Amino acid sequence: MAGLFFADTISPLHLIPPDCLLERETSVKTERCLIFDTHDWRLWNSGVAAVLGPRNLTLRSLHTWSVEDSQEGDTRGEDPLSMGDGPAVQKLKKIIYPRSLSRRFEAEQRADVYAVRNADEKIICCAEVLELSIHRHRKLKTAGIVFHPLKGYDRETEDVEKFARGAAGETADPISLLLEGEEDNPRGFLSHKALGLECGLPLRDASCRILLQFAEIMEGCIPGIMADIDSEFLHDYRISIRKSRALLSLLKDLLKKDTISTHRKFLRECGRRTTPMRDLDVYLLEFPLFHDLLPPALNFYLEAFYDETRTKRTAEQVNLSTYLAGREYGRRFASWKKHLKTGDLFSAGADADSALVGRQLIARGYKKICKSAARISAHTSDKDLHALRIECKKLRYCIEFFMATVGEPVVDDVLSRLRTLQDVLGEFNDMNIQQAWLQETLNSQELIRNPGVQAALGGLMTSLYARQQRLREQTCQAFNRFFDQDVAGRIIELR
Amino acid sequence: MHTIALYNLKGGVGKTTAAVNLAYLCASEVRPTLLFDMDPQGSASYCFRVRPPRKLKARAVIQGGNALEESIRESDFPYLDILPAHISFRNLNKFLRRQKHPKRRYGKVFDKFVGDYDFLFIDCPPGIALEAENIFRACDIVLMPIIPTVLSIETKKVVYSFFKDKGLDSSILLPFFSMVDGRKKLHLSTIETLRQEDPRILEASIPFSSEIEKSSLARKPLCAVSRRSKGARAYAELWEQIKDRLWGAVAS
Ligand SMILES: Nc1ncnc2c1ncn2[C@@H]1O[C@H](COP(=O)(O)OP(=O)(O)OP(=O)(O)O)[C@@H](O)[C@H]1O
Ligand SMILES: [Mg+2]
Repeated sequence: MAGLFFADTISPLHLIPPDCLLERETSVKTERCLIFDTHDWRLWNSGVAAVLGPRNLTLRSLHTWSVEDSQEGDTRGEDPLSMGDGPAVQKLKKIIYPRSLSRRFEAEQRADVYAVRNADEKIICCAEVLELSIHRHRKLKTAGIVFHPLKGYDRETEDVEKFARGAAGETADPISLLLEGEEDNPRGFLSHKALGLECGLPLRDASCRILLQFAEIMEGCIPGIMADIDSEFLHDYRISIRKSRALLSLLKDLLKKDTISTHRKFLRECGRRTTPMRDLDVYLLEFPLFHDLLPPALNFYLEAFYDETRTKRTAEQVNLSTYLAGREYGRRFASWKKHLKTGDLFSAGADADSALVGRQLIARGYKKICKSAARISAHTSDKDLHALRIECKKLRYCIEFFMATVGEPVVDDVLSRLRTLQDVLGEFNDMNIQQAWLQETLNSQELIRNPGVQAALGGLMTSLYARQQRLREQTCQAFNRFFDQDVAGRIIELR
Repeated sequence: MHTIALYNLKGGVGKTTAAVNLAYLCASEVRPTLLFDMDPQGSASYCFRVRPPRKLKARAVIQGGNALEESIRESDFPYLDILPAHISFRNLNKFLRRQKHPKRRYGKVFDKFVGDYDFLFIDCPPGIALEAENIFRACDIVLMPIIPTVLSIETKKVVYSFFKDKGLDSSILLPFFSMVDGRKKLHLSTIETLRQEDPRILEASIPFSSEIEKSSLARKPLCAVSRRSKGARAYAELWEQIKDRLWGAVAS
């Protein structure tokens, strides 16, 4: 069973083969509902929509708009997650974790059900004709048809569906159709994950284009950061900065020194300004883990600590919002964007072939890691491990940028090895940062008024330290697994 | 699962029409119902607009593979499915004869539907041979429509003696009058004599009615078209009496 959705209303009559008959069976009156998703359309990406109706919450398939999970309850709070545990809420939480849910739009839906009869006038399937529209917005409308075969009539229903598909032309899912052309559309949502240099463009153009996309992601995240909708906005914002800076540093020999230095300073400043809030976000996200690490007796004191951290974070959020809304930030960002649009960043050599540049950069980065990793042992200092982690991250970004233009399968292989390695290194590093933070908290007089809190923090540090030591072992193993004679040979050949 | 066959040695007595309407009435009470059309003519399937199956040949019925379940079609009415007949069903007797337990094969076949359905109706072809014996052994009730004429009385006698010869339990056999023409004196007097002779004949009888004929042409059960027509009411009464027989009259 699949569904076909189109922009604007349809007449189901045109979608049925000429030897079939349509007979209206029932119609369901227009019902108002709210559609929810995370800011980065996690639900949409998993093929479901969260629909909050007057009496229930339903999770619907984006292909058929049919109900996959449903839960009755008080919906007046207009917050699905506050409805209490049930099948729909549970599934919802699983998909969106660790994001928060926000209301995307208010819709109206109606459905008419028709019986479809074949040449013998036997009913072979039901056609559900759905209409969705954005509340009080007559222009934004989509309609769809979903065929439900009767038992034993799957094949015939498939034929009907095939006909409808042919008669309908292009189709998509109802949500992205409804929001077609709107700014906030799941299909238009940019994710930094997928961004790389385009093949077939001169390096200068390809780089400017991708940097501009990062700049747009930064821009797009700001309303979310200011409204404090989800910690992921800030996270995405920072990844875009980091990637922009990484690309600039990779291409530094090709850039106009004086022009670029102000922008690099600006980007560094953005990174620096956002660090405190991001750190606090990470700590707050870690609290469930802390909870598990401590014995119940100490967990009580964690609450107080949690509240303190929250308060701090709120203050940081206000701080950062003020900076981002300020004139200075606006001016510097606009200038950065303007330079990206004109492409006036590169010196004469920038018409180089991106594939060639990419091969050299990847090979160089790989060699560098090999060199430092050769010295890794169980006794390597945390500082050296951290430095290596940064090298890995740089290579990873480098590969992600140039992967498409280089087009060598071995690069894919290195990338996936890097990802596994980074997972371990990342966790190791997190343990480090968290311990340092707890230490700092213990040192600061103002926060520690209560011996119970002190005990809780001490207990946490101990657990984190133990965990980190276990990870240290794994880190060495992960490095050993990262290297492969054959891969190394092929990477060196890239140059 | 209750299994009810519509059977008569004689053809054209209203077996199919009764099977179609009774199955419809049963399903309309929200009881998952399957109507198995075992008559190679496929009249019951035709009545529900279901085409003959492509894969379900006589051999497959007897062997009881997946083809049986895969050939089931949902009817246009809730809770009612149809297992349509294939022309090769005319060879069912032949295939039965080759089986190890040729008299009890259908019981195994019908067992496949237990769990999915509460009621199984079987529209039988006319005739009295191994196939009929299988039906008699596998069903809870064998409904036998009889037209109140002298010839029908003779065929009824044949069926009863077949039961006796084969050592079958004749209490499952429930005759009822079909196509009764109230204007014919002969019909009425035959009914009277027969009822005195055979107290097992059901009270309800199906009148001869042009609506019933027309509904066959329209390929719809009369009970689905006009529930209040004389014919439909007669089938409804018949259905009530069948349920009484199944569960005893205690409930009513
Ligand atoms: N009560 C009735 N009044 C008038 N016509 C009837 C009645 N019952 C059945 N008929 C008609 O008589 C014909 C034969 O009926 P039906 O097919 O039900 O009999 P059958 O016993 O199944 O026949 P066969 O032995 O051929 O399978 C059909 O055309 C049907 O419409
Ligand atoms: Mg018949």
